[in-house]
Amino acid sequence: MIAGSRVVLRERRPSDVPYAQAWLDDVDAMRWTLHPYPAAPDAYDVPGEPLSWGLVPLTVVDAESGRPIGHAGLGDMVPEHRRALCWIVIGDAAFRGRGYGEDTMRTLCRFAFETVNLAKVELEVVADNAAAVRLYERIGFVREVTRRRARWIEGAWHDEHLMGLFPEELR
Amino acid sequence: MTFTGALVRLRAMEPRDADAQYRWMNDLEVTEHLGWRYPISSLAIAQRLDGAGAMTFANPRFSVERADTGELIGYTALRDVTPESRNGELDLVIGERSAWGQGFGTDTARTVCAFAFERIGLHRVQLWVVATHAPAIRAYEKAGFVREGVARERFFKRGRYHDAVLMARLAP
Amino acid sequence: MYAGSLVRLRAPEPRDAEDFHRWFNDPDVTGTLGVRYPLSMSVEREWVERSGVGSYTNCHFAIETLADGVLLGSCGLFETALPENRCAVLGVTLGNKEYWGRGYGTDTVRTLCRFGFGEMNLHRIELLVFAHNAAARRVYAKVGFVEEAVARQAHWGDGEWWDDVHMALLEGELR
Repeated sequence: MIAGSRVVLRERRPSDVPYAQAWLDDVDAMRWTLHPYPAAPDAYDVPGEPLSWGLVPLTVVDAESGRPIGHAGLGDMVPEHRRALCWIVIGDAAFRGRGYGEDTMRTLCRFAFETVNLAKVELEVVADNAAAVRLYERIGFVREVTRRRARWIEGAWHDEHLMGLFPEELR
Repeated sequence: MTFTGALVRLRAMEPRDADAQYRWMNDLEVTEHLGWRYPISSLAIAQRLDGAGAMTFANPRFSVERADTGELIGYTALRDVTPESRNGELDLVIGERSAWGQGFGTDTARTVCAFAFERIGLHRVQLWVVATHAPAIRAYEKAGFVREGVARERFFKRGRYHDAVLMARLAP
Repeated sequence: MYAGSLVRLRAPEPRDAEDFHRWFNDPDVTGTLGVRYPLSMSVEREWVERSGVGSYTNCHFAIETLADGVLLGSCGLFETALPENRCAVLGVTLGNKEYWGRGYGTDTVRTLCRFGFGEMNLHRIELLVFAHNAAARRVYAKVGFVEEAVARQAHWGDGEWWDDVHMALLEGELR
C-alpha cells in the first residue's frame, strides 16, 4: 500500500475488474490513451505473481472511501539507466478535475524514487491533452521531446510530448 | 508436527494463513525493515501458500503461533539451505503488531534454531538485518546470534541506502 | 570489449569451453571457489552458449591477455535480480596458472568493477572469499575492497570448516 493524501495506490485485485471495465468503456477517460478499441472483459490485468522490478501495475483508490477510481503504474524499467515510463488514468468521472490525478502522480513518482530507486521517471502524453500536460508540469515534469503526428486519434493526427522528471524536480 | 518453545509454537503454513500474511505484508510498519517493496496481492500470497508443496530439508517454513492462545502472529523460514556446508538463511517476521516487544521474536529465533540444529542437523544459521532495526538485532542477540560484520549501503529503502548487519549462530 | 592495462574482457565463445572445462576440474582452481562436483564438458558448453549474450542479469566475460589474446579465465557480475539495490556479486576465476601472481587478477578485478560502475550503473559490488585465501584478499584490498564481515565456519571444504570473508566496494572507492 502506497499512501498519498487523497489516494492510495495498492495492488490490483479481482474485485477491481468491474470498476475497471467501466473506466475502459468511458470514452472521455480513454480518449487520449492508446486503446481505441472496446475493452475485452479481461482487459484489466490482475497479476498473480508478486510485483517486482520491471512492471508495477497498481489500482488507485480514494483514500477516504476505498473506492477504486483509476489505475497507475510504472513500466519499461531499465536497470542500467534507472528510468521508467509511468502512466495514470483517473477512470471514475466523479473524481476528475479535483486533484486526485495530481496526488496520484506525485505519490507514484515518490514511490519510484524512494522505493524503486529510479533516477528518472518519464511519460508520454498527447500534446492536445492540455489539462494533463499542465498537471504534469505542476508536479515538475519537463517537456523534453515533441514527436510530431505521433498518434492518430478520432480521425486526426496529434503530436505527443515525451516528458521527464528527476528526483530533485518533484514538487 | 509442531515445534514448541517457551512462548511460541511453529507449525506448517496453511492456506488459511493467507489473510493474516496479506495484512502483514501490506503493513508499512511491518515491512519497514524488510527487503519487501511492492504491494502484494492476496491472490499472490494464496498461490504461494497453495503451491509451496511439501516441506523438505531445502525449504523449511512455519507459521508462528502464541503457545498460550494459539493466535497466529508471524512466520519463519530457512532459505538457501546447503546440505554440504549445512547452513541456512533465516527469515523471521512477527507481523501481528499486538505481539511486538514481548519476546515472541526471540523465542521464535531460538525455536527455529533448535529445529535447524537438532532436527535437520544444520551447522550454521545466518541472517541479514537492516542496521537501524535495533529491536530485531537485540532479539537475535538474546537468541544467541553473534554480529559478524556490516555490509555498507546494502539495501535501498525509503529514499536512501541502509547498512545490513550479518548475524549468525553456530550449532552448539 | 573492455580493456584494462593487462587484460581484455570479452564475451565467452564456444572455443573457450575446453580450457574452462579443464580449469573447473583443476583442484588448485576449484579449491578457491568452493566448487565441489566435477563439471562435464556438455554442461560447460551449454554455459558458454548461454553466456554469449550479456545483459544486466547475465553478465559474464572471458578474460584474455591484452598483449596476445591468451585465455586466462572467466569473470562476471551476478545476483542482480533486485536492481533497486544496485548491488552485484563479483566473481573471478583465473584458471590459467601460468599467469598467477603477475597482476592479471588485479587488473581483471579493476576492469570488471569499472564496467560495473560505469556501464551497469551499480552502487555497490560485493564478493565472498575464503579467509585462508590471503593472495586473493590482498588483490581485492588493493583495488579498494573493504572487509566488512567474517562469516564463521560458513563453508565445509576439504574436511574442515572455512570462514567466508565478505568484501565490498562502493561507488567512488575503486582504486
